[in-house]
Amino acid sequence: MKKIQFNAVTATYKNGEGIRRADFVLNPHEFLFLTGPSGAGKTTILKLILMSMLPDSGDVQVGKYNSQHISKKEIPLVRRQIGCVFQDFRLLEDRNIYENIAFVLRITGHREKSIKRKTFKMLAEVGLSHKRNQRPQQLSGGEQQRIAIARALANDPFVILADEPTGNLDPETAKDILSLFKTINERGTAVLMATHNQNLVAQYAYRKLELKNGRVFG
Amino acid sequence: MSLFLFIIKDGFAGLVRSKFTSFLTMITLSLAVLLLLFYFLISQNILLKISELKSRVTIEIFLDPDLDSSDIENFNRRLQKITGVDSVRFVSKEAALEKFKELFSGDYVQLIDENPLPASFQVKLTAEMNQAYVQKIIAEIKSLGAVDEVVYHRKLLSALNQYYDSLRRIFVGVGLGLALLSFFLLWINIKLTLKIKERAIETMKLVGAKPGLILGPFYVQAAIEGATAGLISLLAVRLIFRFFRFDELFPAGVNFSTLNWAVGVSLLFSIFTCYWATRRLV
Ligand SMILES: Nc1ncnc2c1ncn2[C@@H]1O[C@H](COP(=O)(O)OP(=O)(O)O)[C@@H](O)[C@H]1O
Ligand SMILES: [Mg+2]
Repeated sequence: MKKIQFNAVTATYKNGEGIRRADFVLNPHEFLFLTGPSGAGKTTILKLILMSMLPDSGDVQVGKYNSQHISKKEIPLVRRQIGCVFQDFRLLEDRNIYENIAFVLRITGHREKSIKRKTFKMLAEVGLSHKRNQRPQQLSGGEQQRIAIARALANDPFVILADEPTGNLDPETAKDILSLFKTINERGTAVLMATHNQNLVAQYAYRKLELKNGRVFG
Repeated sequence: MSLFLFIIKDGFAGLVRSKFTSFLTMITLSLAVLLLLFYFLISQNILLKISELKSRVTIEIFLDPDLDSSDIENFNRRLQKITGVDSVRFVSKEAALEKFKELFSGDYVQLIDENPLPASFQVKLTAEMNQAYVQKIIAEIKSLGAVDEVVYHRKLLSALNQYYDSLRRIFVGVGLGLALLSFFLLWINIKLTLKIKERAIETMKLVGAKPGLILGPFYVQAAIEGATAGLISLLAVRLIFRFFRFDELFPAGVNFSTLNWAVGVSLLFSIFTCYWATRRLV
């Protein structure tokens, strides 16, 4: 059972901002909210999990990988067991919806047949099969975020990291996206969602971690 | 579609996306390669001529007119022993006069009543030689004594050498300029694409793409550009030789099949440039 664990993690940027002595665990299959005002350090926590940033002290355990022993070559492997969803969707603008989802399967060396099967399955799950030949720019924000979620799920990750996934969406769409995450979690994928939207968080009974000035409370 | 094909397809897509800069890059690079090819052809021809001329260069030794035939025989023997001397031909006073008459047929030959021409030895030297070596042999010949004058036809050779040198300087100068320009264009093209795709590359990394997959398409694009530029330059050489005649420059003609390496050079050049432009990306 894969989990994520922060052990006394301090991680700072050159200007001294960042995370101080963070200790927490994301248990297998858990849905965890990471809340706190903007600038509190939520994104920094996610960067540490993705190992695009490494701790100054302490360590981050992600599945079988630990930040203290990770090599540059292994970083893509860490990320392949994690699904990522961002506030600004981050789809690849130079290819269509189908290719956006297929991309993560291609890079993990799936065969064409299984790429096709999985991509269609993911498209169906987010209800956007009919948009598969369109470009990301042709889709609404909510649709783009659903594609991003489909992409994040394609490789069967053990956890989905979502960084303000509803930040660019209207409240109605935001609700839909959140219930999509709920469904995903109910099927067994852990979710770590960073958001400063307290209203949204209040509607769910999931565990919450509060961040303030780089310190974790919860 | 395997990963390899996927990378190639992405490389082609990149080429199509940046048509204009890619086109400009290929044209400049092919001009640079074309120049390289011409330099190669011309120098090949000149070097051929020089070596041909060298093999024909003889040293003429004009003998002291007072020598008798046994002195000459003696001199001949000692001459043959000098290292670097390949063959020796004796031209007697009479033979020299005959030759002179041949060259200057006409009345005024008859004005000559006494034969003023000295006897001489025509010496051919062995194989490779340079100025210093020839000078050494000449000094050795002079030390045999009984020599009036030693004439060495080096003027033509050194003129040719000089011509070759200045040609090389021009070609290296212009060629380096063009190569630099194509490097710069290739580099700019890649850097611009990297800038445009900065976010996409960041996203690819975040979803677990390895560096090879991200950079692969750039190498594919560079390789296509390089190979195409090489092929264009080969085609250009053939066209130029079809429509213009360079008989004086290339009397022996041009063997196009010896030029195919240009494609490889062009290819390596653009791959190297790609490496240089992307080396700090991952
Ligand atoms: N690349 C960076 N360089 C310097 N400081 C940064 C950088 N990214 C974030 N910070 C600072 O670190 C703190 C935490 O940022 P972040 O994790 O992005 O907060 P949040 O996601 O909760 O809004 C903030 O004070 C922010 O200004
Ligand atoms: Mg943030």
